[in-house]
Amino acid sequence: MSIPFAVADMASGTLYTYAGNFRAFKALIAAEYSGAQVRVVNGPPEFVFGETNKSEEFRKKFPLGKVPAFETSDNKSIFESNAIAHYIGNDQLRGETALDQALVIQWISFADHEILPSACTWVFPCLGIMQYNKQATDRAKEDITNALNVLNNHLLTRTYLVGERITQADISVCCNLFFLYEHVLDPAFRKSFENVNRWFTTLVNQPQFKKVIGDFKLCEKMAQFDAKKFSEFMGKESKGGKKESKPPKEGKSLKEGKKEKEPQKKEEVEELDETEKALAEEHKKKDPFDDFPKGTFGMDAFKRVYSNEDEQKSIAYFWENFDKENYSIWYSEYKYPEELSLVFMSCNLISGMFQRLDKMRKNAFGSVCLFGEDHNSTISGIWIWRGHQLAFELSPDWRVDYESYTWTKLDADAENTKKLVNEYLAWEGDFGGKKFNQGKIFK
Amino acid sequence: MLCFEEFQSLANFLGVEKPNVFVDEQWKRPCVETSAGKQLCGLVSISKYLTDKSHQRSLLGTNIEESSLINQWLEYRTVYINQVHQKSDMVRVLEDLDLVLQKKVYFVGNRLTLADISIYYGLHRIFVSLTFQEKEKYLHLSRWFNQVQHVPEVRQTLPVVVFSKSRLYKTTTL
Repeated sequence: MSIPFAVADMASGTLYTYAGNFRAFKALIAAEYSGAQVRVVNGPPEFVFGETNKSEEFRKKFPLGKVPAFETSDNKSIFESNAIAHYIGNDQLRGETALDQALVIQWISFADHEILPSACTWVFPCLGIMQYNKQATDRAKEDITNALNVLNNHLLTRTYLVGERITQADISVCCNLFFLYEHVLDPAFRKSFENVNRWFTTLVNQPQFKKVIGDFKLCEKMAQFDAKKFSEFMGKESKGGKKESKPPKEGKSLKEGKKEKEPQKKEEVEELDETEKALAEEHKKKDPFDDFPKGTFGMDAFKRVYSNEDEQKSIAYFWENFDKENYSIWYSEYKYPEELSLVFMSCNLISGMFQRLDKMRKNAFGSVCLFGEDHNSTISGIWIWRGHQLAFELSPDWRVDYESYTWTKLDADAENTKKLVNEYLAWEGDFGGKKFNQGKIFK
Repeated sequence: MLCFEEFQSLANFLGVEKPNVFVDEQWKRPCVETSAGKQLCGLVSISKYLTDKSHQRSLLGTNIEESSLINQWLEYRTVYINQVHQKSDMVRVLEDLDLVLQKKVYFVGNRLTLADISIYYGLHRIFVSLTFQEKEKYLHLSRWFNQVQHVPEVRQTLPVVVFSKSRLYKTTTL
């Protein structure tokens, strides 16, 4: 039963978020009900999570630097998802009477305080994005059970949370329950909450919800803590030695010691944001390289030849098959050679970087070499990957190390490129006078 | 609710011209004349005919499964709900429907369809006669009924049935 709205009353503006953010969904679903004109900015080049929202320009409008953030068409700024949803929504969603409005706020607060924190404690370890702590998880399960009981009793005699129509209370509580219903509330667990199930399924099947969240699939098997995923996640999460001390960077972190201590507190606060981001990315793990044409160069085939044949053969194979239209060759050099101390530490630096770039393996190849000896060494390498842009910018996961290197794109036809590439593939040659110590292959 | 009134309300809700309903002499059934001049009889046929003519044809279902389920409930309405003549008939209907709505908000799919509207019209006369205590016995059905009657376009001139939310009687047999 849609009520016609005067166009002049409708909210309009721009919503900044990362894709798949359940907080942004609260506002986007509200917009589906109200018909508000919302332009969503959630991807490069306009929005890069962790960069755009940390920029000075963004923080001038939204001091927290968090998303979702909304800018009205007459340049007013609103942050906090529920406030944005309130603005974007309509009278039906906000509640028609003062009492209904109060009840809507009541349930929204309930969702943020009674559900969300425990939901994170329970679900995030299962996704490998947070350490598992049995006590904390058990406590969270108990809290969720209590919250679901409250909802279940309330919904026994009611179809929706407030009044007899869908309001923002339904939308916001439902959005905070998404990852519980997706990952851990399996049929056995949710059996005791049939009223909540009925309400939840009805909501996620409304066309206005479906347009924003797509088809929702209820959990079939309760997810458990995934230690392997977690260690992978920690690998790519650790930045600037926050969670993992990386010996080769010791020199650097000493120098930056002061600078690093300060943001630590802030980083912890932001951790939840980062974690939620990782959660959103769970849904669509798309290979960033998919945007570039596949070309004719078979990365796998080349790697096989390189591993199994001697260098002469594999180098010839490389130049015969390399597809310069769709692949590029890069030269990298470590920016802080004066900080490199012992050789084995430098080697750890390289293998650490390789590990963090794991997801690039299908589309990239690299040979990185260490020259010199203890306390007097340099690192440089040759990289080949699909596409012509600096690949590390394609995914936030790959940005940990690359800024410590200078990157030069090489002309695939030039003679000196050929010489350079051949030297790095063979680990043999004059390397411009540098003394080869050892090399590592990213394949 | 009398058939005449129900068709007027339905036509009103659908935004179609009010049908000229008459009772056919031989069988005492409600009938209308179609735009082609044919005589169409019976509650279900006329309800579907009016909906089909309107801009809200999705109330009849948008796929074969939905429309079959809607037909099933329209049939239930005429066979059981309209045939409630004594207390035991009534209890049976209320128990049936309460069970169905335990896990659902609407009879078919996740939205209001002709099934809900027709059953609401059919149950209204029963619900006005129920005590609070009786209504609390059928919590799920009551919840559904309250939701449907809060669509003003559906309820129209029918009196609002009051449900107590204080749940004074804890003797529910769920």
